This record gives sequence, structure tokens and C-alpha cells, in this order.
Amino acid sequence: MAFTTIDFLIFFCIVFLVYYALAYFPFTRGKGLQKWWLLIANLVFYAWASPLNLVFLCGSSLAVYLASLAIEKRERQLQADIAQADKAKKKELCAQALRSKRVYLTLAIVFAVGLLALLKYTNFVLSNVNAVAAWLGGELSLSVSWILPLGLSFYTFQNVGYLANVYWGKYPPQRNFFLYLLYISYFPHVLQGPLEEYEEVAPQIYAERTFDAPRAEKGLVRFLFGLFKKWVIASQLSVLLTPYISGESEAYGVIVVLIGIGYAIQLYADFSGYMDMAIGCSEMLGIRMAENFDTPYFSSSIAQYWRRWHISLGAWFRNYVFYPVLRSKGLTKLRKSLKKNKHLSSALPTAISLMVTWLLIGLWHGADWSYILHGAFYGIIITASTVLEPVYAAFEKKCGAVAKSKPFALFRVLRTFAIVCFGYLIFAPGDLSITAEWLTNLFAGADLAKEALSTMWAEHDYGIVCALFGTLVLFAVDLYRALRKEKPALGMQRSLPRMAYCLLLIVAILFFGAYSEADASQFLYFQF
Amino acid sequence: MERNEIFEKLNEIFRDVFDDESLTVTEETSAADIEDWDSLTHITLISEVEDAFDMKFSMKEVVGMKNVGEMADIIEREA
Repeated sequence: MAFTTIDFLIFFCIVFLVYYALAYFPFTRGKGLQKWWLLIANLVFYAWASPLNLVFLCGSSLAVYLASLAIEKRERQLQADIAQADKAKKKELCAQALRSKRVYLTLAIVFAVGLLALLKYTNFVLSNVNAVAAWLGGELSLSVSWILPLGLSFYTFQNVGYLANVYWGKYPPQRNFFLYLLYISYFPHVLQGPLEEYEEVAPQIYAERTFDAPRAEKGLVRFLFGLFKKWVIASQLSVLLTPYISGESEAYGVIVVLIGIGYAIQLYADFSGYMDMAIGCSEMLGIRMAENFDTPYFSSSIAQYWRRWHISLGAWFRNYVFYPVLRSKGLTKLRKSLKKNKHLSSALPTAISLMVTWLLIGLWHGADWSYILHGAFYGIIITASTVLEPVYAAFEKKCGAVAKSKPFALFRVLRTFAIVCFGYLIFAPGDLSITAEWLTNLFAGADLAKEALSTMWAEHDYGIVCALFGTLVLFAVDLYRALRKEKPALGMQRSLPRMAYCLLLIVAILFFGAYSEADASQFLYFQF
Repeated sequence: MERNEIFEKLNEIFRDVFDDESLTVTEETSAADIEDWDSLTHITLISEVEDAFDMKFSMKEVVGMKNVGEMADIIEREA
């Protein structure tokens, strides 16, 4: 059920009303029923498109839940055993317990990630087998038509993160499976994230709460701003860009540049718009969710951009891939063996771990070589900036005044945005042959590009104006936040301007939104 | 090892990693207070601290440390 449908509007009104009614009716108040109501809502929301989806969600969560209990049980047994053991025995018992806990962890992760790999990547593997067979002169057309449950990549990662933390002893496991399922399936985050830490969000979901009008108002404003981003910017741009991204129309010269810039705006409006709607809904229920964007297109470097774009995915890969790989026995040994060269001993293991992480981030986005290349593209840039750090430091020392000047800061922001737009030429079509065609045509066909622009304007002049208007509003809001160094705010502080702002947003959505031309109920990140 | 000795050594490491001779960390100093303290410098910092105090942080500590005070607590316990 997408946030932009009438189904969702009706669903959310019912959820909202019953949720707060349970906190006020004398016979339901104080009985902790709100969380069970939320669980029912989550399951209905998730099963709306296909009830079969629930099997995967529950199966993956159950495997992780059972493993978390087994890990905790083994830890308790260890504590009881070592209480009476001497030092040598303690060491042996700890090693035994670690082995058992590692087995539980591995089994559950193999099951959960295996399910994701099987459903998401089987066709990718088979298409490569077919290609190799064709290259060898044979003919194969292997493929499967399995469904990919919505949100599988997101809840698998939440499951893995939770289990890793129980394994590391950061927090005890949740003993009630249905409460665990309530956290995993929480409807604002189940389909597209953000990937939230159990300890941050679960206590809020489980708590009983009464209606908080200012908070609900702020949530509503946030929801409407998300809807504005989706319908006025992303959907309008989708109408213009889809023919090129799907390979239906050929692009030349300036059109290729406009695709890069346009897709950067479309994806940002689409994904951050979804997040605004999710965070807004959750806020109306009194539950604060993690922020996923922090004015990413005002970043001065690619590393900074990735700390401000899809923040929760970056944090997940940092905690559960980058750090564990970098601290693995092999890379620790490598670091120690290079101890004589201080920079290299730190830079080389970091570079290896970064490349592994970025290739996996690329693969996570989709089962195609273009996504892997997109990950490698960022991996190489960030790794190069780590390895070449002494060169940058020397430049800053030599040209301190220039490096710290405002025009140079602006240049760095524009350079970062240009790199990101170039990356989208690899990422957007999900098909390297289209990317290759765009890059070949980049400096050709000026006349064709001019003609395509005239046709586009003649057919979609209103849509173009609406998209430009929406982008200007988004740019102004983000610029204000970036300059004020404020975290993304939930909404204005005073009630009257907030209501006026709400009305303006509704009017803008009604007049400038595209809900008939584009399939506005689809979100780009659903496919990942 | 005394707490002030730990902080003396930590200050040396922080100055070296962040290349800032004027840097002085306190119990409450966190990633939010030092502009360059990102995931890459965090892990470099962890490795340098481990080498200097001849100890090893667990993964729970690597991802869960909130400030330098917590880091010093772990060093006090482990080193």
C-alpha cells in the first residue's frame, strides 16, 4: 500500500483514530493495547498487495528471533559455568561459547540473507550463465519468475542488524516474537526504511501514548511536504525522463546532461518525499523515526554526500560491513605487517574494506552490473580520497587561503553534484548498454537534442514549469537548512503559520501535481 | 593506569589522528564536537588507541561508544 493512494488515506485515518481511542476509552486505557493495534495495522498494510508477502516477512524475522534467543541462552549458560571455573577453564569455556554463538548467528544470517539473495539475484546469476554459454557458442535461456516481496532488502537488513547487536551483547533480545515482529513490520519503515536501530525505535513503538496535538500537526505538515515532493517534482519529472531511462527514446548532447541532473532531482524528491511521508505518519502516532536525508546536494565532498544521503543505509553498512571487515583477522594482520609505513598501514586495509563495502552497496541496489559499477564508482572515489589524503593536506597547507575561500567552497559543492549526476547516468537505467549509448552521444547530435527539447516543451510545457517550480521550492528549503546548519525540521514551530503552510502545500499539490500522467503511487526505491 | 594518564595519552593520539596540535579532549568530547571525526577517522582512532594501550575494543564498543569518557572507561577496564 503506497502512501499516495486513497487506500492508504483511509487505512491511516482508521489506524490513527483507533490508536488514540484506545488510550482514552476507560475500558481500554492503560492495558497496553495500542501496540497490538499497531501490529494488526502493520500486517494489514504489508499484506495489502499480496498476503503471500507475509510468509517471507514472518519467516525471516522468526529465524532471527530464534537465533537471538539461542545466543542469549548460550551466554547465560556461559556466565553460570565460568562462575566456578579457574582462569584456564574460563578461557576454554569462553571460546566454546563464542563458537556456538557464532554458529547461531551464521545460520540465521545465511537464512535471512540467503532468502534475499535467492529471490533478488537468481535471475542475475542465470543471465550471466546464459551470457557465458552464448560466449562459448552454446545457447541457454535460463530464468525464473519468482516474486520479490516488497521491502525484503530493508527488513532483511533490519533483522541482520538486530541479531548482530544481540550477538555483540549491545542489548538483550526481545523475548516476545510478536513484539519483535511489531518492530520489524512497523508500517512507516517496512517498505523503504529508514533502517532503524531496535533500541531507538522499539521502546517508542511499545509505549502507550496519548494524543499530542502540536506533534500531530507537525507530522501532518511533514507528510504534506513529502506529498508535494512526490507529486509536484518526482512525478512530473518521471513523465519527462522515463522514455529516456527505459531506452524508448534516444538521448543526445545536452539531453544526456539534463537526464543526469533531472534524475538526481527526481530520485531525491521521490525518496526523501517518501521519507517525509513516513516520518510524518509516525510523528502523528507519536513515534520519532530516524532522519534519512540531510541536504545531500549541498555536500562539499563525495564522502560527505554519502553521510547525508540515505543516512541509515550508510550507517548500516558502516556498522555491519565496513567495521567488521576492517577489523577482521586478515586486515588486522595486514595493518600490523605494514606498521613501518604509517600512512600505508592505515590506508591499505581501509581501502580494501571500503571497496568491499561499496561493491556490496552497489549490489544491494539491484541485480545488474550497472548497480555494481555504480557502487565501484563511489568506492574508487572515496578510496582514492582516503589514499591521497596527504596530497590534499599538502594542497590545503600550500593554498590555505584559496582552499578556505567561499568560491572554492561553492566549487566543491558543484563538483560533488556533478559527480553524483554522472553516477546517475550509470545508475538510472539499470542497463549498461543505455549508459554506454548516452556517453557515446554526449558530444554528438546537437540538432537532435535541440529538436527533442522543442518537442518536450511543446508536449509537456505545463509539467516542466510545475517541476521547475517544485524544484525551486525544494532548493530554497534545503538551502535555508544547510546555511542555518539545522537538522531537517519536522515543521514550523507556531501553529498559525504552520496551518497556512499546510494550505499552501495542499493548493500547490492540487494545481501542480502529476497524478494522472505518471504512476504516482510507485516509488523508485520500492524496486531496491 | 590513572585516568589522567589515560587522557594524556589519548590527547596525543587525537592530536596525531586529527592533525591538530591544539586539540584537547575531555570526558564529554564526542564525534559531534570534532568536525573531521567520521567513520574513517573513528576506525583509525580505534586502531591507534588499541596499539597505544595494547588492548582490543569489542565490536559492541566500536559501534556503541558515545564519547571519549566511555572510551577511557573501557581502556581503564581492559588495559
